[in-house]
Amino acid sequence: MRSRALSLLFGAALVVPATRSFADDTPEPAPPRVVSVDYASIPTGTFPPLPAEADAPKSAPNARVKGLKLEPVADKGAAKRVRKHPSKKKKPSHAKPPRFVEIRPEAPSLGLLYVPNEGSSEIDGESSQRLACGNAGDAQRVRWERLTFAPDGTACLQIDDVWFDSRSCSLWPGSSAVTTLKPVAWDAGKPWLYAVRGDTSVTFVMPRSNEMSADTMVGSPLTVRGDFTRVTLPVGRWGSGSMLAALPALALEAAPAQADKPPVELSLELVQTMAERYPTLLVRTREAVEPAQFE
Amino acid sequence: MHYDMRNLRNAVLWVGSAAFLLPACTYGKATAPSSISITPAKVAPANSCARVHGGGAARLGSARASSAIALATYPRGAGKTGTIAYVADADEPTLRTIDVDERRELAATALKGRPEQVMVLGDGRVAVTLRSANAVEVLEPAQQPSDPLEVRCVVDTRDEPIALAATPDDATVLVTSGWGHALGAFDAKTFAPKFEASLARDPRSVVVSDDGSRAFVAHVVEARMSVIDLATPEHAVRLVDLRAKTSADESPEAARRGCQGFALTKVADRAGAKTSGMIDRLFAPMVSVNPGDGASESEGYGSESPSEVSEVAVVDASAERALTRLVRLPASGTAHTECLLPRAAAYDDGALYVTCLGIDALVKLDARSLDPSRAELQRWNVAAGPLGVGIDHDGKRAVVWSQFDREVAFVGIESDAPPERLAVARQSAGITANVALGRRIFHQMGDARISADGRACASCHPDGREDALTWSTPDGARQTPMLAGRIAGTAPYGWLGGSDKVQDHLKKTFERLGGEGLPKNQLAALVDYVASMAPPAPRAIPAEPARAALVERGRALFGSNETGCSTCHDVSHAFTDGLRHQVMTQAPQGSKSDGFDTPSLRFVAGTAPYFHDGRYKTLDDVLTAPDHAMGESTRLSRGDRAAIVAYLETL
Repeated sequence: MRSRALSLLFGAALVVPATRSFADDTPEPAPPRVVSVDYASIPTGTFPPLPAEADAPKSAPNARVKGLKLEPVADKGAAKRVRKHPSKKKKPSHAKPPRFVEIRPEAPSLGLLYVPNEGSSEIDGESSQRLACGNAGDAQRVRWERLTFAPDGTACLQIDDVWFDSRSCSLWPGSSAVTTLKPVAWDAGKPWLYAVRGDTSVTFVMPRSNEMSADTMVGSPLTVRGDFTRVTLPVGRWGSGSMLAALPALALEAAPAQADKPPVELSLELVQTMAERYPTLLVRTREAVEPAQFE
Repeated sequence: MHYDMRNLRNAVLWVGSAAFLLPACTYGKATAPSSISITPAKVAPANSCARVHGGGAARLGSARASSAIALATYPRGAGKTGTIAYVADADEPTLRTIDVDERRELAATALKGRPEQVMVLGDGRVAVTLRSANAVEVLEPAQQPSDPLEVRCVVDTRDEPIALAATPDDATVLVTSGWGHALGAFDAKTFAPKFEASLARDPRSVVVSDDGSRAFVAHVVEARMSVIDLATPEHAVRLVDLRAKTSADESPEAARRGCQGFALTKVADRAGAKTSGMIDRLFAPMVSVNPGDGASESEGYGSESPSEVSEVAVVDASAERALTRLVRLPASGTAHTECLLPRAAAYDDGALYVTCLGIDALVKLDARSLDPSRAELQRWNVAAGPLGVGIDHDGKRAVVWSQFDREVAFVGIESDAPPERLAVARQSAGITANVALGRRIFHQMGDARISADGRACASCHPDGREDALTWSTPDGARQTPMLAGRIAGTAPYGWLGGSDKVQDHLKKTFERLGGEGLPKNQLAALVDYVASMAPPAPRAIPAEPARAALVERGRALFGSNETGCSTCHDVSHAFTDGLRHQVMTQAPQGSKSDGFDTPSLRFVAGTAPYFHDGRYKTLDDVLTAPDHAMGESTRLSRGDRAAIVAYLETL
């Protein structure tokens, strides 16, 4: 079995719900809500592979990157140096590029930005990325994923691969792709879990989770986290996969965690025998008895 | 193997003389039948297992595996059919016929021995395993279900036949033998033996693959399942590892152990895939156990609390591979409500139904889950001792037999209503009230008087035997001893021989488990039950002359001064001298013991691993290991060791 834990945050504590002593006084957990997803009904789709580093443009293209902007980061160290030598005249030469810039969306969005690493199974994206200017070498890959919702209930995951050229401290456009995801679980009538499947994997998009773990018998899971979490679980015959997560709420949009509210335990289970055409897919949620279970 | 008709007449006479009228009774809200007399089964007109006349009850659906209860249909007239249940009443040599539609007992058929499980064959005959009689009894239903069944034949099997299954073509019947560690195959019509396969210890439930090419057998201990080729002449046996891990990075050695693997079932057939999408899935309810690493001491038994977690291993029948490998999914309930003594299982329409001793419940699980025990859909409380379940798919009901309370529960599987209940004879003639009370205590989960974490006596002593595990204890690693047949004449008790009476040893055990202890009368009842547990039938000296000679040679060696075995394992006193001995060539560092009680060697062949800390996997390992000081066994030749092992296997 080839399997890999994405996060060891749970560790053995994952069995805590199953290991409560009969004599303790913790309240009985609420019964889980179980959704059996018709796997065949999940639409097929693909995610663009990461552009190869060798494909980095050698010079600035004519087109510009849309939707992202660069903002210089104030260099506090430089300001102090200036105060130390007030009498020195400024050189009239061209302005130096800033030492650091932040890449961020031009408009608010549900998204994540990251600098991908080849082979990484766990990626923490942010709403912005700080990158250094003035370095030599090829342009650097930056991936921007953002989620939008269509009136028909589906979600669109747009993935833009752009290049950051450190020498010129500028963004260069790359490829762009859109994948449509189907809602598979709802809370209070609003979808919070979306899925799309490929030939050998299935991908879920859900609210951001800082505490999660995934294992599969075939291949290695991939998790990308930002404003939302995207998890890709490999699927293979005579295999199984599972994912556990603690979600602050079953809502993808603007759901700040409430400190006094316990998280929702989410488990996804995929099981497929050799004879089965599709795996069975169960989505189970349950309000955690107490937040401490996941610490 | 032969047809055992020779004692049938005597058996019938005995049963006839013992026949009695069962009292009408009521219990709780259960309805009671009118008095049913146990009727001797009619003897077959010819020495044949084959069906004699047509008609009568027929198998319900495609159920081709046994349980303590089996469902059948019969013509009610006017084109209607009725449903009956055959119940294997293990406390008496009786097969009971229950009208499932009208909730009443129709008939009680006397058997040659106490039944373990029952299965309806493809032609409507009924096969019953007689565990203590080492036989399968084949009966034919009468025209009317209210009439007792007619016996067709009684067939010898290996020791302790437990479960039955039929191949999809209904041509072959398979029988597992618990103590015989075997799977026997019989012609379904004549019950002539076809072949036999040796299995790992303690086989129980058996099911056959949809194509009939392989049989799958559950094992009570060691978290494994056997796969037996039925179609090839070699009948090769392979083992599927069902052990679960708590983390993907755990080594196989560190993986959890398993126990309580009594039940096994599978997705009914390929047609089931139309509704559930599932094909070729097997479900093995069991308990995932962490007994501790043995090297370190613990406060109780095991170093992790709780040490036992319920699990249903999902197995890909085609790949012969467990799909459930991690015990990490959220639980459905708390530990004291978990199904930690699963005994029977049945599949229907995407759901798995498991009967659970100790919590006395029928639980409905989502069979699509990676570990269905973590996906409980519903549960129904039933009477104590649910040992069997049958599913009536069209009737949307389950029928459960609770042996301890002697009740049948009729469960609407699409209903939240509590089950309807039918009590059969309240007090069996085959078991005293005190022993019955002790049996309930022995299996009770979540009893704070027994243990702090809810474990029952039966958790470590399934069927009154042992779990094949070595536990971390305050005294170091300790292997679980067998109880059944090992109590009488084997004092003192405990590995350190610290108690002259069983009661005292039980008190210490409860204390170690964090239990509060039992009142005197209940402790006495528990002791009575433990003393009454049925041991395996003594193994006969092999008929094959060379093997018999080997056993005799082993007997002589065992008793000789040269080996010194019988110096401590006194043949005339249950193979123990009741004394403590320092059995290590060198006491382990920090050892708190100045010696260990000599354990009885009764039934020793079926109780691996060996030594107080379970360090030896086989009897030969015990005899050859240089790190103990038991007799002179290390000087024996290979042939002499084989002879002693052959002798020990007959004890």
